[in-house]
Amino acid sequence: MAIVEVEDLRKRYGGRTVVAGVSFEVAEGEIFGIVGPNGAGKTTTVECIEGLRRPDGGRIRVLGLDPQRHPRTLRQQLGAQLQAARLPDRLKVWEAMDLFATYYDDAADPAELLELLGLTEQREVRFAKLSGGQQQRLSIALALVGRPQVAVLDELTTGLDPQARRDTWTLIEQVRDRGVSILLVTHLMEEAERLCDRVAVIDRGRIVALDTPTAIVTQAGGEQRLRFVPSAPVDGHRLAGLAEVTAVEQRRDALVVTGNAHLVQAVMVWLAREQIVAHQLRVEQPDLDDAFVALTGRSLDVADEEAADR
Amino acid sequence: MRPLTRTIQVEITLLVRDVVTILWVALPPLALLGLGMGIPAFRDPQDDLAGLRLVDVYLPILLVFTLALTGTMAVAATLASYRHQGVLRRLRTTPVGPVPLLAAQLVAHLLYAAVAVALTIAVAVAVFDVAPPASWGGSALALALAAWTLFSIGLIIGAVAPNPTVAPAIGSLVWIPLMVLGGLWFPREAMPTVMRQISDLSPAGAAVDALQHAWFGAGPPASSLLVLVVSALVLGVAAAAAFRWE
Repeated sequence: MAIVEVEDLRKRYGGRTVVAGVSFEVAEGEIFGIVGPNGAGKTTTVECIEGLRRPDGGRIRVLGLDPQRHPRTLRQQLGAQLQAARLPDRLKVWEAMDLFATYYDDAADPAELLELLGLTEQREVRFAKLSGGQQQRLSIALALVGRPQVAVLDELTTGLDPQARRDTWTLIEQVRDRGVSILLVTHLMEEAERLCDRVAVIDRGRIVALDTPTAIVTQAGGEQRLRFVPSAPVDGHRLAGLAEVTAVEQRRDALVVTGNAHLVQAVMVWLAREQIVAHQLRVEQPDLDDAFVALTGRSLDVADEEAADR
Repeated sequence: MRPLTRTIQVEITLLVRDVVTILWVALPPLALLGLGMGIPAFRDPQDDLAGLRLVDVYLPILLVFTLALTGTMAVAATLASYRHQGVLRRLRTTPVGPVPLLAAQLVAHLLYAAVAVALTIAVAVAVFDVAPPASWGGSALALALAAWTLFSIGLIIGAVAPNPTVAPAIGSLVWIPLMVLGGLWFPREAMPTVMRQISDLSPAGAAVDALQHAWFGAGPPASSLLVLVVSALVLGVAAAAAFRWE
């Protein structure tokens, strides 16, 4: 059964279309990602799902409920972590948990949740004194305190250092293992690739790809890249003559070769025949970032800048 | 425990943790003490005040001042920061929504103002022998209407302030002229005629007038009660209309 159903969602602000016909479903027990550059309509989409915004068109069902018509029933079952939402500075961790627990009919044990989120030692700490990672973990804990069936997490690792980010990812997987379906919004392709079972890539209010991260990358047909330091000079023209190779580039003493999916095998065979050894060999697989370029014709950074210029 | 009860407890706790607001509670009673002890003339009956002393006249002014400060500064700042920090938006995703928080915030500030009001009255009665109110009901009514009006002004400031840093600046721009008309710098009795007439029509001026007559006279005059009721209604509706979640 689909936990979240979105069909042809549309939303305009003023004269500007922000979401232009988005459709997807989140299955039970799934970590579903909405990825894309800033201003692509990701947050607006989930805010419509959370019932914070009224769609201009389309149909949304969360656990079979219309967020606009049954907000209270829905909010008993839906946990939300909002982008850049803080708590009062002087509110202590346990007080926040305790307070939010009174909002739900069937609340989880706050102490147990704090333990899961690794915040037991910070129980008595005020919100303003928590580190960025601890504040994010608290907001995840608050999203889970009502024992939701689905959690919507918006940009949950923004502003975290790489270690805190990886810890948070592990945590999200643990939450999913407890039976919570997760809708994750991120503009970090790495995060989506690492965490999500399926991903909707959104650009300018439209879904440009919807599949598993691997399938999206494969279908986008990004190129493989091989980088090594050859033990002897290589004739670049002959190497470029291989059917699998599209480009050869000399970067100081290293050689960067790009080509199709069979690139690695072809180049290694050719090097062996020439009796050349490849030192410091690195294979760069195409990732979601590359797929985004292939799908939209521009990089994520460029797309972010466009959003900033608007 | 029910959400509202728990939220009120939390809001009171948060208020008590704020050192600045705690200092503010002590300000009005200390101001009365300072004026009464520091300036001997404050303790002499004045012919042009119908035999009242300046300490008597200043008691209602300081009580209204307390409500004005709480409303335009504390209520406004808290609301502006809750909105700016996304606290209200976050609560909208919960089953109870942000209404309990807003209600609890008003209750907490009301209690806080009540403590300051009680302390000021205690100083007035214990140190300066100010007589108890001639009309308890009239005094309570005047204070309640004043609180409603001045807190509504605070809610409006909290709603229009673009961020929490600007809220206190707007608050000061509002409470200073408000309290000039309320008689904080020179009592209404000493105002020139035109200014006195403006004061009669202003929320703080009407509140001070109503409270003074309820405390020392024959009860609050209908004219100042009317001004207060109209202000309370208009500003209350304006506060509801100006309200923004984010």
